[in-house]
Amino acid sequence: MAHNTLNYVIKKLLIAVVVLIGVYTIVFLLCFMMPGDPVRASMGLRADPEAIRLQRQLFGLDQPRYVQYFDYISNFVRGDWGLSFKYEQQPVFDLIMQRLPKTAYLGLWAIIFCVATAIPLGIAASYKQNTAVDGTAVFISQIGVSIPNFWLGIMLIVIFAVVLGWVSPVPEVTGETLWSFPGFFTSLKPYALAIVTLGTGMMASVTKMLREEMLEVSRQDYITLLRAKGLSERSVQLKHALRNAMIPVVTIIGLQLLILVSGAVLTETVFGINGLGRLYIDAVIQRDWFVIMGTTILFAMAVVIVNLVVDLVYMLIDPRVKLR
Amino acid sequence: MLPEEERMYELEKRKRRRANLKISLHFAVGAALLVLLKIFLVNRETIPQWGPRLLALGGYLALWYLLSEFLYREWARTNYPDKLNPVKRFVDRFYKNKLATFGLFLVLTIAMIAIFADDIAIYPYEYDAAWQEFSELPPAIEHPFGTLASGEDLFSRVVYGARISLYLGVGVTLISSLIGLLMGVTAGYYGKTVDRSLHYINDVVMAFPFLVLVLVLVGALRANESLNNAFALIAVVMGLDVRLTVAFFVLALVNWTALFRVVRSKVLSLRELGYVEAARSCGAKPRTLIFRHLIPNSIPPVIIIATLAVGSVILTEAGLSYLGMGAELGTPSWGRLLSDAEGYVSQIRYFPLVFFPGLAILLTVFGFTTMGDGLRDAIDPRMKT
Repeated sequence: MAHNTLNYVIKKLLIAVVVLIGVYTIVFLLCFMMPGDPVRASMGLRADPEAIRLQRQLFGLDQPRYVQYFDYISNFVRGDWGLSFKYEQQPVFDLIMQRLPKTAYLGLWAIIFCVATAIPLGIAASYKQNTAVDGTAVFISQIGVSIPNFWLGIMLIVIFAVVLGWVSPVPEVTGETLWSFPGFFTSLKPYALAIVTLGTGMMASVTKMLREEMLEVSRQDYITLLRAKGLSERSVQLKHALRNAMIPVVTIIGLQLLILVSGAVLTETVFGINGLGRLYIDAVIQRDWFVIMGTTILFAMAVVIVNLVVDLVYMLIDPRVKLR
Repeated sequence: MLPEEERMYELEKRKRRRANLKISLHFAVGAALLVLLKIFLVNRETIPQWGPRLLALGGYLALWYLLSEFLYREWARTNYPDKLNPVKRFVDRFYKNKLATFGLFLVLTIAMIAIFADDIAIYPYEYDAAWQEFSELPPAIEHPFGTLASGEDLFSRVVYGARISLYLGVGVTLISSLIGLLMGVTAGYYGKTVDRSLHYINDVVMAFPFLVLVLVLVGALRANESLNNAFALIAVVMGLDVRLTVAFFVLALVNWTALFRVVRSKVLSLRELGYVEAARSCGAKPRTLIFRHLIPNSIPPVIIIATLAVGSVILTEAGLSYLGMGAELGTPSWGRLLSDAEGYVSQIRYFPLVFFPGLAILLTVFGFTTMGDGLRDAIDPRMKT
């Protein structure tokens, strides 16, 4: 078993690396479709040609494409992710590390929000199938899946910040405060709207999935057997049905990271949060392509790693999974 | 079969064919009359007022409904004398799901709004400089949702937005479904290296968060001068603006992954079934196998996923336009209307400007998701999407 598991992990890791190389190649090719000479654009049209030449040399843009391709990847592994054209030639890695705390904070709380609301809602809906509770839960989750999250953010701002005046529409908290001890919890209030905005879509899809899985599991013979044995309904649902229903739901929660990143781009724009998503969309608009490359690869890496972890967790919690 | 029986069967068949021909004829005549009615009676020129125009439109749609209902009954009566009608069985199952029925109603309504946008909207699509004096008015009878900073009537803009959203949603989904279907069938049928390489492409595309991939693609395509000129030409043909055309193709290019995975696994399971095996051993060519057996049998999941995908494409387009990477200024895309209204968020007086475009997105996407889920429950409740 152990040997088998190790093989499986190594194989998955290799696949992940190959996928990441594919991601890098696509991003690299796309960035070279953005001509318009970013160096000239960042230095202004009247810049001295000699200065531009030096600048290009600094960014390594005077090399042939294939050299750049391998240079970038070898530098990337060593933590040198290139320089930003726009942000006063700051190293992209530092730029990302500056922005990361806010996005990570937002994302972490959004996932906590999603799990904390979706699991009770999903269980309640399946437990009381075809009742008003179920109907409401299904309705809420369908709305949550279909609501554009930036619009939800705007509506929340209008209600809670403009009309009621409870919070400021723009959460102004620095990255260090967010991850310090009292700050981690006291920053919740200014960030609440953004967290709900980002978490709603995830909450809705997890609720939907959990409800369906619970209903599916409840139809199985072993659940009937447990009931026949005289176990309390509570124990049947929470101990046996939920554990089996959670297996596919774990995958879905892992996959939420994809939605999380996409949602963060929009949520940060709505709330004016200076996070990674905002950095990314600004870089795309301004064609700051070292930043685009760095962030995209970082996002893809996060997704691939999370998928890998989900696979492993899946293997741990479901003994039926075959290792291939 | 006895000769007597065979004769009866032939007679029955001929009778049915004649009845079906009659039904088609009825439809053709009815449709032609209704189209003439629309052209001559229900339009902006003949009825300038907005209220009567809506009433006439309602009556016109009711006539269409009656015609199609009547013809469907005729068709079911001649072709399915007993309870064998598969359409009826499916429809019954679908209508039992209240949320799905509501979704279907929403989708049909939005489709009607998109088709008859010219008659429903109060003001024409083209911008009129004279509107400038009506800038930023609150809601009133002449402007049910108020007006934009440019003086355009928000209600009319939202109505025209239905056209853009549905055009993009349905168009993108058709193209990407075709890509996903073909790739899935190819991977499932040929297996081995073909399967592995297609699956690798799928894995790479799936490694990107969707919006991130779309954004970088749109950014890259838009920065390229020569490609942009090509897109400008295509945009004229498609009747969209250049940036939306770019978004259209990008979305069509990356939205196939869900379909690819479902079709591939479906084909893998179909391949092992007896009748496919039998057809193969009878010497059926790959082409026959794929187009006769594999594709038709993987259509139901394709329909379900495509319906759900329309909603997600509309959402993504709205997000892109909101971020300024989608529709251009002046194109009444709902996302664009929302991003234009961003400056009014803090003024409660202008609430309609930020409320109604978003509500339109929500209702449309809600319609497609609930309808898709209902379709799934009616066709195959066990399918995972």
